[in-house]
Amino acid sequence: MKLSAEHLCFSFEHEETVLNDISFTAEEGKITAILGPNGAGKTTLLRCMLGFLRPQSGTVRIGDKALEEITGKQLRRMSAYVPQAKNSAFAYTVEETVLLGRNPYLSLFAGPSKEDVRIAEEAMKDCGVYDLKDKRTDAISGGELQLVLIARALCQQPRILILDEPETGLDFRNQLLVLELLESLSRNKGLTIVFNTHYPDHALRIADTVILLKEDGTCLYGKSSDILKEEILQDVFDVNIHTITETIHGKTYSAMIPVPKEEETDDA
Amino acid sequence: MRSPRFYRLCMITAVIVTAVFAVAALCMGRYTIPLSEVMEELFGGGSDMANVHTVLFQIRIPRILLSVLAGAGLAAAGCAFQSLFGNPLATPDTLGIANGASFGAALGILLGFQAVGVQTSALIAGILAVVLVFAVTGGRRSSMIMIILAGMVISSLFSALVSLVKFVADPQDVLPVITFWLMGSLSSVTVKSLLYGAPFILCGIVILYLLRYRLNVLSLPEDEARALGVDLKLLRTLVIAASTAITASVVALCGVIGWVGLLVPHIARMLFGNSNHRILPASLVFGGLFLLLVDTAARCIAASEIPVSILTAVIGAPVFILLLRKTGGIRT
Repeated sequence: MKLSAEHLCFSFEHEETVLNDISFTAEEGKITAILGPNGAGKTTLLRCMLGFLRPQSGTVRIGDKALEEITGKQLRRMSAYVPQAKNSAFAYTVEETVLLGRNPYLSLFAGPSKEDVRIAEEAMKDCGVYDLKDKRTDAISGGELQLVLIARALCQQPRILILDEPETGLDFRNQLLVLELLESLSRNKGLTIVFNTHYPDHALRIADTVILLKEDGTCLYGKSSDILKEEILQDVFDVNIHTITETIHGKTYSAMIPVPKEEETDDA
Repeated sequence: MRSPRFYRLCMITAVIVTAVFAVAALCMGRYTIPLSEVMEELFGGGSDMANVHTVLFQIRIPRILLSVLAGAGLAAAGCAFQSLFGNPLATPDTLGIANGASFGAALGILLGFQAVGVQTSALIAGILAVVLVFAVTGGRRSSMIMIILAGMVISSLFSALVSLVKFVADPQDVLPVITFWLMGSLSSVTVKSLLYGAPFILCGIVILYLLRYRLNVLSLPEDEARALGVDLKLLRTLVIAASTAITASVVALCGVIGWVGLLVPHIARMLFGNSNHRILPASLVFGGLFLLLVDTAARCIAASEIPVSILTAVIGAPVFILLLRKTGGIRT
């Protein structure tokens, strides 16, 4: 199931435009990364895709349907949201947390059935957190919590996964774990994945397409190798960028290193 | 994690203890009735002593029923509000219901209403407080923090109005009645007032019980809850309506009883973890037992009745501290 936007424009009340004429198509089974400077509207764009914010003009489509035409629970069975890992006021166990993902399938007064528990167990296994199932979410690491939240989203059995900076604040190993998990979910399960990130390297590594938001609210959209180029990123992020490419064990890795612009170095 | 078996065992034990204690409480009091007489009255053909019948059916049974019902209701409402606001310090009074209802009752007493009149004005004022909170936060989609702040403002407004009523009340006869009433007591309950107030409490309890599986989602940040397909508006309205019905009716029936709504859900959490599908039923059972114990103590310890609120704090605080120290606040 694809997720697309056509000429999306959004601004908060009495404030300047955040998103200006954004169009893209996140294809089924592909990974799309959203990049952009702080305040360029990455989170706002995610919130529009989730239906939390209503764009002033333009449409978000899930499959062929406009977002507004899909009713609450139906929508949450198609697309799931993974927030940044953060504990809430009451820490539930990992299993209880993942089970919350069954919510779109339950009526107002119903509890989870055996089948729901089985689906939750499968989601935990897919994310490698099954062994933690009886631990409280405030007793596990940030990386583990992020995986648990992805498991909760998978428990919704969605076709589209929308993640808000899933690898921010995690250590190297956990960053890799999350990225690899996203890659395998899209390749093996055919999930459409859209995620926000601050790291062009991560986008280069797993994303098929990239939405690069600019300060003025417009965006560049295209294949990640076409968008994530030094000259483009230098312009958007206002820094100099050097790309280093290394081949390790037959696989090619690229890293982008931000360098202060020359005139600034001269000043200092 | 403690097993579901531990949970079931605790719940069954608590229910049995409550039942046994309720029967014991029938015998206890200033006028002691032997167990055999009580059994004769309840299951036999009735005893020959008319006053035993009156004490049992007009005084003790309504009072015991009310204590269990009010304790269960307040604890469940506290549990639901803590989830609703995502805040472990929330109590059934967070939206100003208790102070609103207190004002209604104080005003009723000042105006010389009969018992049912006082009860009605307390109920109406309690509901009015919540309505005011939502009128203040207004038509825009308002955040939970706005609602809590508005609740605090409305709550202190009504608290000031209660003081005003006390200030103008006749210190010879009316003021002591208001003061004693505000401290909370189940002594004035009658069959009639119970029949009038209990349905509200019961309805609230049933709604909260049915919603127990949804309360976990409710405690998440707003975006997350919506992304999980919850109709937040409906769910919040139901929880607030049910909790308001419970709290306003309890205050209308027996004054302000503090602590139960805060203490009991946390005791349950220390035993069974945070998940509300267990904590809400556990709050109901423990809350009922707790207030039954406290109220029985209130009427048996001294020659004259001790206000319940004093006892809930005096018994509740040490129990809470003991549990906190023993479990470290976290179930492991």
